[in-house]
Amino acid sequence: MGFRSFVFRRSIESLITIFIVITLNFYLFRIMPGDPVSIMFNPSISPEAKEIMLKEMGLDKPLLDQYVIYLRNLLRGNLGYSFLLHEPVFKAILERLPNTILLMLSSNIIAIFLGVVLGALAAWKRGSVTDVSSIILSLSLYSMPMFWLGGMMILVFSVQFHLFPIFGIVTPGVDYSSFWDYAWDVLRHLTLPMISLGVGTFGGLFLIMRNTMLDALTEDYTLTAKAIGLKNRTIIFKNVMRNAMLPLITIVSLRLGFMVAGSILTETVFSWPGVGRLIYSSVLAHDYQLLQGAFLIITILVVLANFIADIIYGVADPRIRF
Amino acid sequence: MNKRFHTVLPVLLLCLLFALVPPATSMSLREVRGPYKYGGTLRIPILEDLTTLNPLISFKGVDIFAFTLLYPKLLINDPDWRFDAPYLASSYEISPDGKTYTFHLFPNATWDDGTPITSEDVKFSIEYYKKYSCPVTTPHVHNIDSVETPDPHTVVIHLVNASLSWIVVDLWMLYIIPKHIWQNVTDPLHFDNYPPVGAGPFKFSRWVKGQYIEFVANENFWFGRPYLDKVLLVVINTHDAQIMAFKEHAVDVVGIQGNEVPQFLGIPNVTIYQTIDPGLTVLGINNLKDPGRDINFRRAIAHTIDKERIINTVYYGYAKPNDNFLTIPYNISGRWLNPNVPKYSYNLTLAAELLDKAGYKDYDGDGWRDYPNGTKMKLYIETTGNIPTWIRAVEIIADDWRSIGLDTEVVAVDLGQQIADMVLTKNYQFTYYRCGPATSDPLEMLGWFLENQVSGGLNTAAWVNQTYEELYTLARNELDEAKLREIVWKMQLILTQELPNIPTVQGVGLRAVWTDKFEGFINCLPYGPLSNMDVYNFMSLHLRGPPPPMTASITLSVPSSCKVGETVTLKATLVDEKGNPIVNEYIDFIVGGTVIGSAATDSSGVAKLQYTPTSEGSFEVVATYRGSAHYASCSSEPSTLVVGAPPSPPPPPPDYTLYYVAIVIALILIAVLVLFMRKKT
Repeated sequence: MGFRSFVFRRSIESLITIFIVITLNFYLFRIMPGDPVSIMFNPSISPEAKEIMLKEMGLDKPLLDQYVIYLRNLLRGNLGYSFLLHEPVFKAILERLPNTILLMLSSNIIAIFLGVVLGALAAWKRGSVTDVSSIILSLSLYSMPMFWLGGMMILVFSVQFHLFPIFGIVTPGVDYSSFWDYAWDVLRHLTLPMISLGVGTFGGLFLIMRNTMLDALTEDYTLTAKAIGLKNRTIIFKNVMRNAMLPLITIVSLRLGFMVAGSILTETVFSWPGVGRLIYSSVLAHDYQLLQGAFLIITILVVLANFIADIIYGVADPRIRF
Repeated sequence: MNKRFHTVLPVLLLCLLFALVPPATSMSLREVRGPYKYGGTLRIPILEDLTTLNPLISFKGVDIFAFTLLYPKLLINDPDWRFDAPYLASSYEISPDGKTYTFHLFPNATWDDGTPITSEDVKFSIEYYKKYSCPVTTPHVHNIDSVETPDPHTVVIHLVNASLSWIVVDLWMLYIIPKHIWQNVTDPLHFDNYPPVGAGPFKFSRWVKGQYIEFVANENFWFGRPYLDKVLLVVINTHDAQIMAFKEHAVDVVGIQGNEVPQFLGIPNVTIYQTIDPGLTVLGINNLKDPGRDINFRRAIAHTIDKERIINTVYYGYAKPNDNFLTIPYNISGRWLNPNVPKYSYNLTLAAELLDKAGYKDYDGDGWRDYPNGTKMKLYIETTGNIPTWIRAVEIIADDWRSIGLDTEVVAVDLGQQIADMVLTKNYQFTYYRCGPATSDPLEMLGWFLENQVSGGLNTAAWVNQTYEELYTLARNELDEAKLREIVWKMQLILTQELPNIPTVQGVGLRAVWTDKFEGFINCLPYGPLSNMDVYNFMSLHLRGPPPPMTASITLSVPSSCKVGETVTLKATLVDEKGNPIVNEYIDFIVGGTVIGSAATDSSGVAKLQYTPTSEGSFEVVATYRGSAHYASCSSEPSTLVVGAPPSPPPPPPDYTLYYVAIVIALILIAVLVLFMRKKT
């Protein structure tokens, strides 16, 4: 099977996957008890008001009709209208997507860097203090609840030492005299959530990297490299790590694919207005349209990421043939 | 518990005070005005971002914050939870038959874009809500028959049916929208209304989505410009982060819970305001299922609610026991609470006896009570894990139930699930929840127990009582307040006798504010200072410290020209920023850079100085005021005085001395001649 056949087959599989996810999402959210209107337990909302809202949301129609309308709108590129935010779903997600990408990308870079480098070092110095302390550190941080870790960081670095702001992306009410002032303000606000998410999630990558490194270190080429007198640094980073990183390609690709979903806990703790927080609010409000749209985008990106991972894998590892 | 506060109005004393004092008229926004400093930015944290700036489509509390600041109503709620305080309407009258309301609008009210607000806007708004189905407003215009606008500042609204509560229930829900903006909007449900054109104490400035929304003072607000320059609603998604932000002075106010009070007591310049929650927290009972449908069972378990323990353990003392289906704030706004309703004391022994009497005994000897027909009985109390106080209160109740032989399990579900079970499916046995009213109309809360609220409404107990239904209908049509009160008291009696649900406690709302920067906080009912229904605090809050001097201005009047040596009058008129004369203050007059003199202003604010120029030329004349504690210094616009050459001296009068001498000599000569002539003859 050649590369073209591979791409064609994967494309078909991806489309089928996406269609199944669309259908599952549509019905899954509607299985939740209640609907966006009935769960508004508010005496201000009269029965007439509820009827108006139900009709406006299209929820007065039979379920199958709603599904057909949804599919038809999807084919036209219309993700629907958010009940919660009173704006098109695509616009609502797009407004928050840059915030999420900024946070997730920066924290993933930290996590990947720490995971790969520490994992490689720990494997090379297996059994040493470096190895043991790295394991303890990574597992401790990995097992800490994100909301606790984030809260502690705020308490120490924001409240105690006044180094970083407590919440948000920007300082409220400030007019910036230049782009760099704005960028600096964003960077100050980004630091704590980025670090807490990065150090809190590198543990998994660390362990995988360490384990694959340990396997690679037992290979013959490693022994050969040592025998011919290469430096340790060269052996680790130029020979062994390259081979050990292959499984990480898939993991990192999937991580980046899921990046769009944001991190609900981190975004909530730091009041970072991202897609994660949006999804959480939508769940509480039973905003089906927004949930469907968000999950569709996540699905597409994850499927795409997986697809790209396979291709990169094939390029990175010459032993793999399509 | 030792409760110390820096400044706290004892709530019970307040309740007692208002229970004895007959209801007064609503407080006007003008009463919060005074000689205060302008300036400052108030930052209020909110848990979720706004969802829309369209006031016709959203019921979310945080959106209402924005609508309250941006959009006018004819009348608003005052700090005592009365709903007829002047806002867009300065006054109103009701016809004797109660069907015609005449509102007089403030003539100087304008929209943010400067367009005057007239009766046409009011008429347009009501007709718009009748034409388009807007969830927030349309349900509240059905009782309006017609609207007339006899002049630009008078609106006459004719109702279909007279109603004592129309202002509270319906009028208060009606935002007035600008005709010139909304007349072109044919799809209000999808109109994002951005940027909004409103008319309130503040104008919309910017909305950074997910972060904050900024409002700036409306210079043209008809009650006067607010003292604050800006209000920021800042999104902080967790309560803990809000507390930390408050302590760091990143926000100026924060809602707190009872267990958090001690950490605030030691902080200087922090004041904690308390208000009684108007909401009803109940043990909900499904009256359609066993054993809830048995009134004897309900009356028995009414004695199992340890309200004191719930107050002390769950609310840390910040709650009040409640025996009624109306809450304490209703007595402050209108003396609606019936003091004679039956009270069910906490008495497990009595509860056990009543259960025995009702037939709920342990028939199978397993230690748990069974149904009267002998079948096994297991009780489930459902509540949501989202709200810690509810879960903890339910645990206390369940403990007591188990102690008297009721096999009880606590079921924690998602809030949406709980609401769906209570409202839609009635798939629960017992539940614990709180529901808060929107207004101070007692019939709103009492109306939750009507038959038409069973399916999809607020009658979660599914309890129906024909007498109660009839009383409600009578009450809705009653126009005499005293008679209405009688009916309302009767309805409360029925509820507390039948116990469709069991009232437990009312929480005390706690709000901490920084008082080092701002002052003028008003503890408004029902939710304290700076809630989403409060306009008064936004108008009264101001920076601490004495106000700066008021601005003043001088108008100078000088003749355009004169001559050297000619005395002219220089006149200066000193007025304040509102155009009122400033009396008895000294004005310096400066001619050509030299102060030539000062004069005091008279009762008209006019100071006059006589001036005689001594040289020719063109001179700049300025009048200046040095200022005082009350008024800022100022100077007039310069005027020019042209001083011309002095007039030519008049010719010297002719010298007639020689003539006089000649005449005298002539007279002497004539006299000598006459004498000589006489002698000769």
